[in-house]
Amino acid sequence: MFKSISLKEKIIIQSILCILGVIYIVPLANVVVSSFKGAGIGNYTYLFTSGFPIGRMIFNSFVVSIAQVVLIVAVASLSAFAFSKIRFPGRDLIFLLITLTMSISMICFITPLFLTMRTLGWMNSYRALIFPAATFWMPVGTLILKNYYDSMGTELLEANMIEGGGFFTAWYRIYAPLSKPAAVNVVVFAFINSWNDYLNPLLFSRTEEMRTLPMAVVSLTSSIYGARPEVVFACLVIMALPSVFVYLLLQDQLGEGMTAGAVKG
Amino acid sequence: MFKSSSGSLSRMKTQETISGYLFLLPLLIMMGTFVFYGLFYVIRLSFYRWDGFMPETMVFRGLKNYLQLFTDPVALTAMINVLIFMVVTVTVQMFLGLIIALLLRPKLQGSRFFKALFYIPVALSTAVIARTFMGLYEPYFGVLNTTLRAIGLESLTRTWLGDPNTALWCIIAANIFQWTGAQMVFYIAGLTTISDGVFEAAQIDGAGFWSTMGRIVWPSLWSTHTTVIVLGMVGAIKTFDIVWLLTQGGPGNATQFPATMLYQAVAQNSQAGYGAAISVVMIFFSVVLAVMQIQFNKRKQEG
Repeated sequence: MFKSISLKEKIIIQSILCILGVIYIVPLANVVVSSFKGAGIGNYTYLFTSGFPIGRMIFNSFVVSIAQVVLIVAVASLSAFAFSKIRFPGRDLIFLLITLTMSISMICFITPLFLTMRTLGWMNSYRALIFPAATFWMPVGTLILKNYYDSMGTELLEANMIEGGGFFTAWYRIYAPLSKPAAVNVVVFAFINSWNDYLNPLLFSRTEEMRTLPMAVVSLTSSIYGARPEVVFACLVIMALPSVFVYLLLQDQLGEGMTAGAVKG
Repeated sequence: MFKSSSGSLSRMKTQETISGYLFLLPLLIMMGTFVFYGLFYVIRLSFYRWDGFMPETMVFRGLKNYLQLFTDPVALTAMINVLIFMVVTVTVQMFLGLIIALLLRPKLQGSRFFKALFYIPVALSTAVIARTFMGLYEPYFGVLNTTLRAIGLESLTRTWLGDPNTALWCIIAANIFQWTGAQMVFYIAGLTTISDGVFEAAQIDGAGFWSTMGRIVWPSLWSTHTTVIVLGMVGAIKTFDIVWLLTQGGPGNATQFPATMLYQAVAQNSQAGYGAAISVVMIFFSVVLAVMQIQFNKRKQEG
């Protein structure tokens, strides 16, 4: 049915794909085409030169996303190694608690998060944009890396022990470097997730200078620029570029992470 | 000699325990601060009335927040909306994801392009998706109404997001567009476990397309179905961004979801206690779904 495919079946398959493809392309192309309406590339230069802090917002988005990715990969890799290769009382219980809380949305903790941020004095700072959101994505990263460590066996660990190495050297020198394929998944999906996150800046940033790009779209629409939708569409295109680029560049190396990336609703 | 070796063994055990907790320390500190503390806090807060700012305004009111929640007509709307949203998005994304995955399986020309195309919305921010769909729904210049006018169906044009009868469906359509690519990936992965031989054997037996689908393909994707369904349900409970960006729960309260009610209660109406009760109910359902997912995974591992 699939190996020996007839010409008729080929045509049917291709036409259905083309119809679905058109449905997907129309809304996306509408954005790109609209972003050039009127002044053409001028819409983009206007966005950067009209006084709207778009440059600052792009910078913020990069700072926040890169910091989150580094934090998530480092902490998730350490934790995943402990869950997979170190035996200690309470381990399975902690792992269970983490997987159980994984599906809870950050918005459920809005009041305690506000209080914590106020107590720490983090409101409207990079720390507020980085730490809570990274924490909520960490269990996903931990799970992806743990599955990978589980598949690696304990021989390398034992060899390292015989040579007198501890767990840390085993993780740092052997397991972490070998887990690169899984780590790539974590990096890509943590980046895309963080880059796209709208709730995080909605809750924790208070001034235009501390907003990230998803909020920029909203600020633009509700400000005087809203009267020029083509400028808003230019902002959408700029915003979409990094995450789509990262995905297209690394799509062949993305395995199970692609499905894990969908954990976020 | 025996003693010393068992002594060093238990020393090694202690060392292993210490290492284990040291490795988990960063995760435990962060989860503790932002998740577990929050969990205990909202459970406690759900029994109080509080404006969210002044500590002295906090008043114990027992189960009244929950009573208020279960008798609030807006909460009922939110409940119905999230159920409709859940059933429709999960079902459509499942079938569409599976169909696309099946169509991409023979790896015909252009398959790579289509796969990337269908996945791109997953890589986009909900803010981008929302603004994109506003461009379609916009009443005067939007693609939808313009097209309807052009083909003479003027009577069907409407303010899509401003009409309580269509607003929820607009949100659902945007969500299906955004996430079908993710379900497609699950099914592509699931289909790799079925060998071409299975399809060919069915063909030799004289089984038609539909009976092959129904008897072989569908049942053998059992574990993919459960994952897709549970994750879709978890996502439905979390739904906030797309609603907030498109309608903010309106018009009226026609598109309220639990998360938008929660956000309005806490961030706009200073009802932190009532918001906490909404949180607790949402958390309860999220955890139930997580337990289901763990059970399904266990069954999968046991064969």
